[in-house]
Amino acid sequence: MSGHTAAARFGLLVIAMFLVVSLAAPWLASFDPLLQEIGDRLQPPSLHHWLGTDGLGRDVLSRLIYGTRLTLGLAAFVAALMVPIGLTLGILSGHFGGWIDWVLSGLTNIVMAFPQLILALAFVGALGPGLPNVALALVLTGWPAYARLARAETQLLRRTDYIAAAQMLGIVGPRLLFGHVLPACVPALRVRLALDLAGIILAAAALGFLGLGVRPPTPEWGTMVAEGGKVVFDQWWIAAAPGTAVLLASLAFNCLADGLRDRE
Amino acid sequence: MTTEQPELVVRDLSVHAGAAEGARALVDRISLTVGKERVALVGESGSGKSLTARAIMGVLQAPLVASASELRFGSTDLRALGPRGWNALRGRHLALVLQDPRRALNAVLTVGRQLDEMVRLHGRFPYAQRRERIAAMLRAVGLTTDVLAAYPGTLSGGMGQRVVLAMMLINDPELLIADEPTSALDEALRDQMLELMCELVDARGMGLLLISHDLQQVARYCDRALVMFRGRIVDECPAPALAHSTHPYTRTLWSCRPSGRTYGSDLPVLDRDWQAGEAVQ
Amino acid sequence: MSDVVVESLRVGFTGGRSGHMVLDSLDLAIDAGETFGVIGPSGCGKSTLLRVIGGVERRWGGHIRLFEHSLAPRQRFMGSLRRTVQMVFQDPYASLHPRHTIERALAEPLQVHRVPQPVRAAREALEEVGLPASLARRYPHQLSGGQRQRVAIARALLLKPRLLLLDEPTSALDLSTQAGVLNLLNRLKAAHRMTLILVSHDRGVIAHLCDRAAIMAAGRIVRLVERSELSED
Repeated sequence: MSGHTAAARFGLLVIAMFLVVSLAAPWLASFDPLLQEIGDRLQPPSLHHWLGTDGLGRDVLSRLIYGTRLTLGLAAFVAALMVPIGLTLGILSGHFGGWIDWVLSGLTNIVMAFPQLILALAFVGALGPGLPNVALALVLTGWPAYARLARAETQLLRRTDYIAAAQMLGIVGPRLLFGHVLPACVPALRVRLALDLAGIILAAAALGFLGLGVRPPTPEWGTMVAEGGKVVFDQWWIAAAPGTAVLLASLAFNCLADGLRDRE
Repeated sequence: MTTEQPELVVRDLSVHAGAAEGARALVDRISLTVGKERVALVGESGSGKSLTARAIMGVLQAPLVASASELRFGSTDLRALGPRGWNALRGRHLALVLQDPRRALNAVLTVGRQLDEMVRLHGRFPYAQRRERIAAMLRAVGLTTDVLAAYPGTLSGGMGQRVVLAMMLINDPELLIADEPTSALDEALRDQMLELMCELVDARGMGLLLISHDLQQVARYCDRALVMFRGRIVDECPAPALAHSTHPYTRTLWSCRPSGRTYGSDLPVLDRDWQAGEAVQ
Repeated sequence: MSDVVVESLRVGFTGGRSGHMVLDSLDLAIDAGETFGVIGPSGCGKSTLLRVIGGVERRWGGHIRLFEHSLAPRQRFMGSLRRTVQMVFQDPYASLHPRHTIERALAEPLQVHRVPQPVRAAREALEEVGLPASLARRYPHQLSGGQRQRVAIARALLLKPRLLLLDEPTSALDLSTQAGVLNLLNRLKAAHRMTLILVSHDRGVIAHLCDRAAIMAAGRIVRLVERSELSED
C-alpha cells in the first residue's frame, strides 16, 4: 500500500470517528458540558475527568465531544453553501463567456484578492459574533476558489467531443450545464473541497479563538483554546486538548485530500 | 563458444497481472530469439505484444510481474539485473523506440542537449568528438544540425521520431526494440520511417524486434513474424509469407484490411470467441 | 441539383507567419445517398469542414445548403435542421460522457426531442448496432473501443439524420475491430438511406466505403477522385 493510500485511510478513519463522536455525543460524554463545579476547577487529567477540568470546573472531555458537533456542523454547512454558489457562477462564467464572464470573473477576482481569514474577520466584525455569522463569512469568502475551478473546467470541457456531441443532439441550456458539464467538473472539486474543509476548521477555530465565534458557555474548540490560553503554563490540558482536536481534524482532511488527488 | 553478435533469448516469458497465485496471464509462456535479423511481433491491441517488449526491457509497471525460464541478452541475464545494470544496458546495448516520440523526449531540454547527454552517459569523449558523433548520427537519420537548437515540442511527429532514433542509436547498440514506432505518424510517413530504421539496422549490423499491428508493413520490412493473440504466439513464419499463411487468425488479420477492392462487400471479421486452441508453442 | 452544397467556405486563420486559412474558399457538392470521402494529412482542415457542416463550428464565411436548409454563419442548429445532420466523432474514448451510463447517453436525446418510450428505443438502437441490450447499464470505461464506437454510431442515428458525418471513425480501432465497424456502417447507410461524409487519413478506408472522395491540403480541396480511381487503392 503506498504511503498516500495509507494516509488517506487514516484521514477517512479519523473523520469517521469524529462523525460518530458528534452524533453520539449525549451517550459518550459522561458530564454535562455546561455543568460548572467551581470546587473542582483546574483539575489535571484523572480517572474521574479524563482530560481534567477547565477554569469553571467543566469537564474538558465532554466539552470537546460536544464541540465536535459544532465544528463538523459548521464545516458541513459552509461546504453546502459555498460549493453550489461557486460552481454555478463558475459554470455560467465559463460556458457563456462574453460580458457574463467579465462581470463574474471580476467579482471572483475581487473577493479572491483578499486573504480569506482577514475578510471573514471583517464580515464577522461587521455582522457581530456568533456561529451563523462565522459560517456566512466563510461562505462569502470561500466561493471564489470553486468558481475559478469550475470556470476553468467548463472552458476545457467546451473542447471535448462529448460536450460537442451533446450539443449536436440538441441538448442545450440548463440540461447541458447541470447534466453534462457539472458532473465532469466534480472530480477536480472533490480534492479542493477536502482541503478547504481542513482550512475551514482552522478558520472557524481561529475566529472562535479571537472571541468572534460562539457565545460562552457553548463549547467550541477555538473558544476553548482561548480560555485555556490564559492558564496554559500551569493547566496546559485546557488548551492542549481542543488544540489537538483541531490539529487532528485538519490533518485528517488534508490526508483525505491527498488520497483523493492520487485517485485522479 | 561465444558468438560475436549478442543474441536475445527469451524462453517461457509470462507476464501476470499481479504477484498473487492465479493472477491473470497477460502474456503466456512465449519464447523467441532475435539475432542479427529483423523479427516482428504482430497482433492486435490486447494481444500482449507491447507487454512482451516492456518485460524484455525491464520497464513493466507495477503491479505487473514478469517471469521467464530464460531471459538473456548475450551473456547477460536480464532477470537478475538491478537498476544499475539496466542503466548500463539500456541505451548502450539495447535500445527502445516507442510510439509517441514526445514521451521519449524531455520537453524542456533542446535536442542537442539530450543527444549530448546520451553520448556522455555511456562513455567519456572530448567535446569535439561528441559533436562529430552527433552530427554523423543526425546525417544518418536524415536530419541537419539545425535541429540541435530546437525543443522537442516544436518538432513534427516524423522529425521527433527521427530524433528519438538518433538518440537511441548513437551509442551503437546491438538490438533495437521498436514498439509501434510508426502508428502515431501520418500514413505517408510510415513507410519512410520504417525504411530508415531498417537501413540503419542493416548498416550497423543490429538486430531489430518490431512490435506492430500492421501485417502488411511487417511483411514488407521484416525477416520473421510471430503472431500473438491473447498473450500467446499462435503463428510463426517468414514475414514475406504472411500473406499465404494457413493459420485462420493470421489469414483473417491479413485480409480484413479495407481497400478499393473490398468496396461494397463485407470485410472478414474475427470470430471473437475463437480460441487460440493450439498455440504454436 | 446537389443536396449538400458548400460554396466558398472560409474559416479562420491558423496564425503565425506560416499560417494559412483553416478552410480557404472551399467548394463541395454532394448528392443525396452518396458516401463522400475527404482525405488529407493532419492539419489540412478536414475535421473543421465536418464541424462546420455539423453546426459545431459556427464561425465561418461563405454559403452552405443542407438539403432544403440554407445555413447562415453563427446560426444555431435547431429543430428539424438539428435532426438532419449528426456526427460520429473520432475518439471513442472521448465522445461519450464518462459519467453517464450508455442508457442515458442514448435515451436522453430521445427525451429531449420527445420521442415516446425513450428507454425502449435506446435498447433497440443498441441492438441495431450489434450490441447486447445488457450494455445499457454500463459506463463507457467498461466498454472496449469498438463497443464505444458502435454506441457512438447508435447515438448518431437516434434522430434519424439524413446526413451523417464521420470524423475518422475507425482510426482509434485496431484492424479487426475496424472491419466490424466498417461492415456495420455499410449496412446502416443502406438501411437508413443516408448521405455520408467520411473523413479519414486512411486511403484504404476511404476506398472501401466511399463512392467519391476529395483530397484536401492546407484548407483547400486539391482534387476530386472518382470511384474508378478509388478502386485502384
